[in-house]
Amino acid sequence: MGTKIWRHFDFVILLSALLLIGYGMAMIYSATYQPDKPFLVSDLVIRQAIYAGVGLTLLVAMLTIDYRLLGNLAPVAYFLTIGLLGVVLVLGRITHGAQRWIDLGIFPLQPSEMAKLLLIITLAKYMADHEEEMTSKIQYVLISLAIVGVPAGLTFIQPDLGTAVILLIIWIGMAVMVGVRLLHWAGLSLAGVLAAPVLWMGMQGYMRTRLAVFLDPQSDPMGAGYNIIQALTAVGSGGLLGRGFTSGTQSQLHFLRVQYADFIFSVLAEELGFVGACVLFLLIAVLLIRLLKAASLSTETFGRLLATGIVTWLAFQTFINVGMNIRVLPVTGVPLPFISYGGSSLIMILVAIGIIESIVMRHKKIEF
Amino acid sequence: MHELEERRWRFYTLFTVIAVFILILIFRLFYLQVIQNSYYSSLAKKEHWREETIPAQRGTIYDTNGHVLATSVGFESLYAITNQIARPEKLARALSPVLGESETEIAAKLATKQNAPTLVKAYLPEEQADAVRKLNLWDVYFQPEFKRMYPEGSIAAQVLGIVGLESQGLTGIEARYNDVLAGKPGSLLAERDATDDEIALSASTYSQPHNGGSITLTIDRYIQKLVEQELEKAVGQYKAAGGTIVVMEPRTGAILAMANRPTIDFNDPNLFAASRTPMYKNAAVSDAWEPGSIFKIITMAAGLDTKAVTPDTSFNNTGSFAYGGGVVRNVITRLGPETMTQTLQRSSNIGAAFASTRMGADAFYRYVEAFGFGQPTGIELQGESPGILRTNKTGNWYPFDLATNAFGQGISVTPIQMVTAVSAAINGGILMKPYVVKEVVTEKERREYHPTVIRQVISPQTSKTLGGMLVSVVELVEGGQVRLAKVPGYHVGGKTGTAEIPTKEGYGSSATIASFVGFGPADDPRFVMLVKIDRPEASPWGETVASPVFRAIAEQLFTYMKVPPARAVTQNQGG
Repeated sequence: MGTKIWRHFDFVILLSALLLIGYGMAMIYSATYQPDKPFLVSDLVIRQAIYAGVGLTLLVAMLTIDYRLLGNLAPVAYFLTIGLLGVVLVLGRITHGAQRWIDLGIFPLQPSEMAKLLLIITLAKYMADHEEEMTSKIQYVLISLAIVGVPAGLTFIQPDLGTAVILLIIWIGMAVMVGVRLLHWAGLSLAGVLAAPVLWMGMQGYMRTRLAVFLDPQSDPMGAGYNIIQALTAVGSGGLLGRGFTSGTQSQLHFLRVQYADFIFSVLAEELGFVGACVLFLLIAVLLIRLLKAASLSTETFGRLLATGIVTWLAFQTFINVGMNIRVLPVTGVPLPFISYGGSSLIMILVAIGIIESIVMRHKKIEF
Repeated sequence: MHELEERRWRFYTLFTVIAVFILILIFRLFYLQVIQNSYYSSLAKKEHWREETIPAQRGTIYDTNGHVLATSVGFESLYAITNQIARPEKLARALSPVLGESETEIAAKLATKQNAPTLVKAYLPEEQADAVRKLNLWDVYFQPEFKRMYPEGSIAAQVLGIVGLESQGLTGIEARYNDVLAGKPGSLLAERDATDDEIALSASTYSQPHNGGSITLTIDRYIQKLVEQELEKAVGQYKAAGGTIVVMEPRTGAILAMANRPTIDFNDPNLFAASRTPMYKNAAVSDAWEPGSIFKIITMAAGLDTKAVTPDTSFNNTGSFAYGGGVVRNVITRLGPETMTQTLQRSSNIGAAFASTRMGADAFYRYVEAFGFGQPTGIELQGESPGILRTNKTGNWYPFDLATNAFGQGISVTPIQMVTAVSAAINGGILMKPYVVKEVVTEKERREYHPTVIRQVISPQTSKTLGGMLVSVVELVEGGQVRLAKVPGYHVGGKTGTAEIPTKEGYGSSATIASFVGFGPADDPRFVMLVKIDRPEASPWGETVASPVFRAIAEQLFTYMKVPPARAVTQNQGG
């Protein structure tokens, strides 16, 4: 690897990622803050810092690897994904009503987080290899859909509706990018509408409850609707400038549950207000625009699709998480990228950013 | 370059879609945080600012020697807001072993869904409260509460009275002095977290509770207990419907003991049931009855003081006495001359009527009213009755009433009136205002209550003479028969009464109210005692039913009060 390629390293991406990680750790600190022990940095903050360190190391490691090599690993990656999701169904320990973790001893691995990135690589490889057919023949479109369908189905059974939906959205983003025909889109949409009742039947009871309380949180204010009401109260009472760091009463007084993970956005919005939330969106927007730019610059279909998949993933996971915090979407257990506490999510995001940087660093090769 | 164009277009599409989604979030956030801010702020405030009442400790009621009769002890009571409990069965299961109640019992308490606090268990002992706290439950909370405790049991229960919820005195001293005893609750406006614990370092507005003042009664714990015991025994022994005993210090009007049967039990779980409410009243002040022969004391006092009669004034008892259109007869007829002393000794109705008619209605009723009959005594107890007194100055009075009133018929008096009047008759003639509260101590002041003289009713000389006559009543030995009120070693005076209970048909029924009013020791009376036994079935007579009760109590009172035996009596017994 020559020193020349480092010239193309996008520092804006790295900087915005680092700022987001810092923002996230500050919010985890606040969410686990104990007023009587203000100087105690919680275990979770320290763990998150370690995960960030691991993630950044892997990010650097990804830079040294030519991303194109990843394409060759695609079939392995794919079966690894399916295997991990299968294992989690069988062995996974029960947490919050869903089996999503594999306990590795040092830290619980959440395969669905890994699945997202591994699936993006696999899809990118398949679509790049069959670029022509993807734009002309429906069977190739359907095969790509089947590639995502199997892991999406497994996560849906876990049950993890949020991840299943994100996997499908990633596929849509990448399929749009590869150029699937409008006619095929129309046909798939029709099929999707027809399949909707089947999906509804397949939904777990808790998913329907969440949908019901999304529509009317007061239908079960002390049960399923509790966190929605608390999150809305937290966000709404935050106002323009927020109630001050570590001073949000809803978050600090534990009216909000699992406030350091899926509901950390409510803590942020309560304590730092509308302005604090906009700062978060700004950082994410800058990051996404730079990632998208990286994708557009890649002359290679594989790299372009890879970057597109990653951007779609991060963008929609952000949307789904924030959306459930402010009752735009029903509650699904999806972490907020960079901000929520969780090792698997953070590490995989940093690996993904490493891959994109790797694409950026190598895209100008044609120019000599 | 067509393909490149298309590719660029696809990127713009993706970019636009992401931008639109982020804008949706920003608009929604703007709506929630800026436009709806005040709504959600008030919601948040309501959720974690809670005003809590800090109950004031209700004051203590002491007996005359400072022994506690009623006091309030702080406990913690467990409450839940039932319609906020996510899983009542789970909560019941968790609480069951700690509270020592079955799951179904607890679940039943939680069954009514309401927003108001529901009592799960009142007054938890400290260890139990700590055990519940250790469970770290979200759905229950503690409320400090005071429980009224009665270290001496339910003695003087109707004098003390009942305390209802929220430290509200309902009857007796508790009601009359509720202002003093209740105190003023404080409040705490504090931030709470989701488990409803107060936040240690947060701001709070605290107003201190003001604990209630204390009250010291004139009631003597020992005498009260003694009286309760003897009354209980007598009511059982004579199969009576009930009874009343009042013990007064004649010089001051202080009530030393006051007991009724039936009475209330503070530990009765059904204390607030409708079936118990008739027992709330203090019959010693609220129930008037036709006193019968004990009223002859009053008649004789008036007669002696007006000088209409002397102890030795004699008349010829012909077995009947016609007056004002009626005829008076005695229960036991003894013909021949009869002195006024003998009138009292034999409890002669004819003699009493002779005395009252001899002094005339104006004089007789002037004295009866001066002794306090026909009006409440003003004692600090709830529900006092004035009794019924008709005189020649009021309506519905017939001249024959002058004759019958003389021996306590056609007039209604309360036990407290009777004891107060007899006290005046033998204490030198001074009517004292009866009182039961000796001292009130509040945060602000200390009020002592002193004996209050109402009026001089009869002259000291009359009083002394009358006292002697009443001693002779008790000490009369007829046919080897010693009067049952006689206390060995002491001079006591008194008079029995056997009042027939008037019904619509007249005095025909066999039910009576047997009574004895007496005092001791004769030379310097320390107590006046009325024993009244209602509807005794075993024997109708005051002499056989009430006198032994008087004697039993008086005997122990002398010992308790350290009254030395009378010299003359000991000599007599010795010789």
